[in-house]
Amino acid sequence: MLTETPMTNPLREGLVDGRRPQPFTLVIFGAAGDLAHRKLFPALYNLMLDHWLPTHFNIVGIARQPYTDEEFRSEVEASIKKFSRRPFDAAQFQLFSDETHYITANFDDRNAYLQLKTVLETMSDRQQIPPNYLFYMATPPSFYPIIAGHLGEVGLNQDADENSWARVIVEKPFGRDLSSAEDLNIRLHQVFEERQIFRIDHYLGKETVQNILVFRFANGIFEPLWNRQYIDHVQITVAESLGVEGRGTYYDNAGAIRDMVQNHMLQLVSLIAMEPPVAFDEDAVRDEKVKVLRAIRPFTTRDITDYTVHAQYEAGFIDGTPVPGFLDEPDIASDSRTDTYVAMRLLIDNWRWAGVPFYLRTGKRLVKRATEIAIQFKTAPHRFFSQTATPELEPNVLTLKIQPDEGIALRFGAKVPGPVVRIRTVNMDFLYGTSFADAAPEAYERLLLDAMVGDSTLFTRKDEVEAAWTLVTSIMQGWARAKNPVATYESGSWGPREAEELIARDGFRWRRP
Amino acid sequence: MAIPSTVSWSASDLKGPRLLEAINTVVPNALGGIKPIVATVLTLGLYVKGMASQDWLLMAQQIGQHHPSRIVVINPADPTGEPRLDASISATLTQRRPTDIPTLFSECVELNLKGGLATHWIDLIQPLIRPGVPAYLWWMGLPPLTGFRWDLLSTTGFTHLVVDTETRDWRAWLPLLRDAVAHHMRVDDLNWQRLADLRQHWAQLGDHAVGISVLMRVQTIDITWNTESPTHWVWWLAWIASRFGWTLVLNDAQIPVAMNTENGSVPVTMQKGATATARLIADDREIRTVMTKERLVTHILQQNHPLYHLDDLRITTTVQDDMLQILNRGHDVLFQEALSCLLSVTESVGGERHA
Repeated sequence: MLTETPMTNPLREGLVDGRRPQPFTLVIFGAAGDLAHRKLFPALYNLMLDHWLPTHFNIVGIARQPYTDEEFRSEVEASIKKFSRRPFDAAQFQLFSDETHYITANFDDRNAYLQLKTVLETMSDRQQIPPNYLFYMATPPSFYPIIAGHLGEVGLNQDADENSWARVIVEKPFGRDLSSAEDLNIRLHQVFEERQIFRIDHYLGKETVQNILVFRFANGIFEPLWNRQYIDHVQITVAESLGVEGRGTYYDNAGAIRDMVQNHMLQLVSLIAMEPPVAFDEDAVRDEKVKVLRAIRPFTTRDITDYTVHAQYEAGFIDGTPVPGFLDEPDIASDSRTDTYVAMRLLIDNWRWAGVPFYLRTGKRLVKRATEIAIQFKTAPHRFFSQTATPELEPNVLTLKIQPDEGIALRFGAKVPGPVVRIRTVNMDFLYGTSFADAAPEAYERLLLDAMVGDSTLFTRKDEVEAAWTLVTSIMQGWARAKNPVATYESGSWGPREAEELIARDGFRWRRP
Repeated sequence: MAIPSTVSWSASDLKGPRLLEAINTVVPNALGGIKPIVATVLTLGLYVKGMASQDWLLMAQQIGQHHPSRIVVINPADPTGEPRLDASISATLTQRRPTDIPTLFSECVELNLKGGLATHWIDLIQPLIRPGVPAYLWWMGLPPLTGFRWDLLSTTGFTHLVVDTETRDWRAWLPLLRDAVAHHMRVDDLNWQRLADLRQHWAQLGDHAVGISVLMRVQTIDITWNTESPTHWVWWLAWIASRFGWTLVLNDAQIPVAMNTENGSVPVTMQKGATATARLIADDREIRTVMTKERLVTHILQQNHPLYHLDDLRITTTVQDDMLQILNRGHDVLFQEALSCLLSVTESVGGERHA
């Protein structure tokens, strides 16, 4: 008689071609919303076209808008036609949407969850697939604990047996300050275990962001230089030329610090500053990231005044077109103090980074869209060329370009041809677009697939979220206490004068991406 | 300045130095003297002896569109007569913005070789291989005869060899693969790449407690195949054996007849049949996989009662897709291990005899 004893699966080792998940059902709360239509359905469709999905997968949408299954499929079809990176194929869509269902319900209606449970169990039985459920909360955040609570009440929060799973993906924003994030974590943990919770930050699904880890830890030449001995300072820029774009109500309650700094920018800081993890797995990577967040020096009240800037955009021109100021945007209160621009200096108190400032800035309605991390190295220690035609040398800068023009550039000095020594700064450029022809998958494709196979490496952990909120909440509280007038900047500029002063205080200047 | 998206050049009865000069000057000349940024990240040699040009021309074009590479088509058209080289160059250019320096994305150099050059082409190829980046040789035609100068080829700069064991019985390819490995080339197989879904399917079965249990205690393996040769299943057996640290036993015809496991020798039967199936039995349990063009369907049974089933759609790919996968991913160590497993028992003629 055979007995089942837990053993590792040698057939899994070394398989790089695919991590196809087990058959599963994706339940999207908020399936009629913008996120589902712009990102989730196209991502799923592309995953299927690329053969990442199992033969049996089902989609169940839940939202308040009344749709039949057929109407919902038509909506999904329209979204894929509009937003998919791969062209629409009717036959493939037929396969994709065969088992797509919709439940019209309010998220606080308990009966809807009983109905959902019946639908899920019926599909699993009929298709003879294990009860694997991935719940996606694409709703306003206030519904997260409500949905989780109801899923728990009807027993959909637990793995049905050792071979099946139940997981939940939670969209940002995850809280609006430390206490609300802690509260949300507590309420989710009353229903789900941490291993079941996947807090999404779509920045981590971007190829160029993942390439930070590859660049640092798959290349032997950079890591020895990656410390206070050689690095002078780091600048992280997330610049947008767009304004609030119809999201005035949301944005006025969030601001740049919640919308960008707490999640995306602190993720970039932790990826740049983390120690090499012992393995590329969920705990090892996230352990190192959270250590960075905890090592960021807390801001004193004086620091908040001197080393943070928050500002709002005023009217100006973007690409020659006049645009209104933030306070004149729809759905923005006329006395709003919400930040559309944030700049700050972070210090990381650990062995590697002691004394190396990290400058962060993000803003809307800036002159151009650009996200990059610039690592400026210290200048050569000996002024060997001081008697030449170019006595002052520019420092080397390594720039990781996240978007657009995804790539990596290294700035260094080269001799200008001629009989005298004249040095000119040149760039060595690597561009994703020219070295890799195939379009990179969308961030949501990678992250959805990771959640389906249970890999949470690229999702944020409870302690990570709370460490980020600890820092950001202290800054927001400092701003509230100070009650200074909010700085302003002209739309189409690179931000407020105060931000220039912030970095100039340390003898540096912001880069022009 | 508007740049052309492709630049073409061809010439007949060339000498090697003239070809090298053309490779270095054709594109700058077309750009008015501007040297483009070169984006190519590898050299891909296509050895196309005996193949119709339409079979490889399209392939070369499509790979060139998708992978930044220098493609060198080696076409030993006719080994008789005076040595003669006819060549053409086709370069693909891109430019992100009108003010940017153009980028040479890929280039295809087609060499039609006659006379002595058709058999002694290795020297001619060497300067065409880009230094410092991987260089793949895709052997598209028939396997070479014994005595091929792998020692010379492996020092040209070709670091990888790619074959397609589906085109011939695997036994025809083994000597070539053995020689290439012996000369430190990394070897990959398009057929192996094509079977990625079969491996993925079985890895999924192995994730299941009952599946791994049957595998670890397997007592018999029965295989039927419905294609010209059982090459697919031979690779599958070699993969299973290499993953578990087992060894294969082959008969005189180099067909697997047993697998030596920790639990002893497990008989393997392989026969032609109406369907492609693999059946593993351990006591009263059985894993049964049926492979069709469209699906991979497996049932795990206990005394014919279903315990688990897995139904996967097959992944249909073109040869170009498979090649691009190999180029993007690089050498597959799993294939190397499976190949070593097979080569280790074919060292002597007929391999180890099954008692």
